[in-house]
Amino acid sequence: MGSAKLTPVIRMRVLIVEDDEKTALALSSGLERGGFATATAHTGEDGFFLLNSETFDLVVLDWMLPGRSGIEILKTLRSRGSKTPVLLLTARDAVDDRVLGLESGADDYLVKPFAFAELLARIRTLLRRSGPAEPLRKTIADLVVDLESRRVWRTDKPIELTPREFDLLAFLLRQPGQVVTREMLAKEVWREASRITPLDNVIDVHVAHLRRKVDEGRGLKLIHTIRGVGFVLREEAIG
Amino acid sequence: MKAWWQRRSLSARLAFWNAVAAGATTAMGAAAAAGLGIWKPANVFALLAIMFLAWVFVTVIFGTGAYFIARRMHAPLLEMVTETGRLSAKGLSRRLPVTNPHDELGVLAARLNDLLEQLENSFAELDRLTADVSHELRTPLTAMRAVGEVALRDRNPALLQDAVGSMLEDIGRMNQLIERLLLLTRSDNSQIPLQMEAGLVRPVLAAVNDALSLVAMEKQQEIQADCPDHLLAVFDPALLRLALMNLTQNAIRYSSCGKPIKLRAFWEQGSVVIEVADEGPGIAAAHHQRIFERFYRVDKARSRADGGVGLGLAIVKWAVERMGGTVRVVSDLGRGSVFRIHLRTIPSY
Repeated sequence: MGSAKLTPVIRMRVLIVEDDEKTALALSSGLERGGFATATAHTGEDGFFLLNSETFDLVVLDWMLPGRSGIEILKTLRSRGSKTPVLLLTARDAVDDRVLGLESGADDYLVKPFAFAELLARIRTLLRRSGPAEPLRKTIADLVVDLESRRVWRTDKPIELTPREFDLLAFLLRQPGQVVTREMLAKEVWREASRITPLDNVIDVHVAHLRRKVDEGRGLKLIHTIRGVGFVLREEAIG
Repeated sequence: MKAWWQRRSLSARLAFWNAVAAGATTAMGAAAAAGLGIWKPANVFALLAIMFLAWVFVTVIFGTGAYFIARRMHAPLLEMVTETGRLSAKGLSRRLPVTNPHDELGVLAARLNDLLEQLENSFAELDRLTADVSHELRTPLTAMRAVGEVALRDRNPALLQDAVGSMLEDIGRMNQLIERLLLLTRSDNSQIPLQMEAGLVRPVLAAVNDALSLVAMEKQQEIQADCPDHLLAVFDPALLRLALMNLTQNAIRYSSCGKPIKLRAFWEQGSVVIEVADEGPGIAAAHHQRIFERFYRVDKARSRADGGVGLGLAIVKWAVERMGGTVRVVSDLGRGSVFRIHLRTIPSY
């Protein structure tokens, strides 16, 4: 498994509070495979009980729960001074709800249905906030990217990239081995706030160009398309 | 007694009070005649008896007459009552009879008919939308089911992986459809804040060109943007961008390799016009009105194969109209298409 070496030495503990059992199971097994230890609660009461009895590094909290709602749990948690990062999941996406969620003390907000890749990326970002600063020069296989001078080399040969292509590569490189969705790219690289603006074609074309410059004519491919999900930067030989 | 009275028809109650009043007037007339000495009754009892008889007589005669007249005048009302009884949510095609368009009942019937018309249209629209959405959702569901069943029968892991990928693509498409549909329905309730501002049009065209030039190049197409430097209009930048991205992507999608796409903005009679023109196959006049409707497709097979969900132009229309503008298409078969957006501008400019 390519992601094995990314597993933290001490596994981070994530609490999942989600009433839909299918979703909860998918999330916990996905996170376990992503190197986290998980606990799951299906009701607001269970979640609250677990939060009181154990410590977690992060909570994935569904908004709509039977019994105690996600927002209530969040408010109680914050009023007690807990700083555990909370990622709120919700099917609502009106602006007011977003504001309410963040004002209640959520650290981030994800609208259902979401891509699992995006959830994983958000969780890693939340956990990294307090961690060490990112290095300015990154390497994967024989690809070297200097984030400060915005230059790129492959096997010591410089590659000319347009600004957009560079941003795209830098974003992929920020989470090597993890799948990045088109939605994430639209938001982070194209800075498009609306999920409605049609950018999928645009993204595909830019990825194709970037791939041509980085991978063409090389045995070791770095940029891969995961059908139905998005793109990933990892070492993978052809065949 | 009161309840019994309330159950009498409007005509009967009206006639009754009319008749009582008329009878009373006659009796008073008799009393006045006696008082003035025109008529000399034998005594007070005779006067009272005459007054009473006159009152009763006139009341009965007038009451009967007034009842029939009132019934005639209320006949349209009774018809309206019967007709409304036949109306229901499922059968809104009936209309109330308008006997005399000038009196109150006629006006009332005409207004109710207008309302019925609107109700009938929105129920029909709802039916159509439900049918369309079900169809649009069923198509990817059918594909997913088939792909899943075939993949399960085959034990080849590579095939399985491919099947899951294909299913995820369909899920993405369904999700897109729902999101766009929600946007359009919410817009009906105007829940999304509008951020109108006076701004230059040129940077918006440049941004669209910048985002899509690479996509166009894949088909050896060139996007030519042409806009005066200082052209100002009043718009919401995100909405205008959304509209132009949709129109320009359509232009790229529907015109063949090597054909240029022209983005043009200019002044015309007090408004700002933004055009997206292609040299594609064009759209027959019969479709011009309807292409902006949700899920309307000129060529049903083709646009879905290209990944569209059938809401692009509905979103364009929605976005432009929210900004107080208009959008229409000028096109003919074999002549390419021009989508024209008219935006308001600042009066003092």
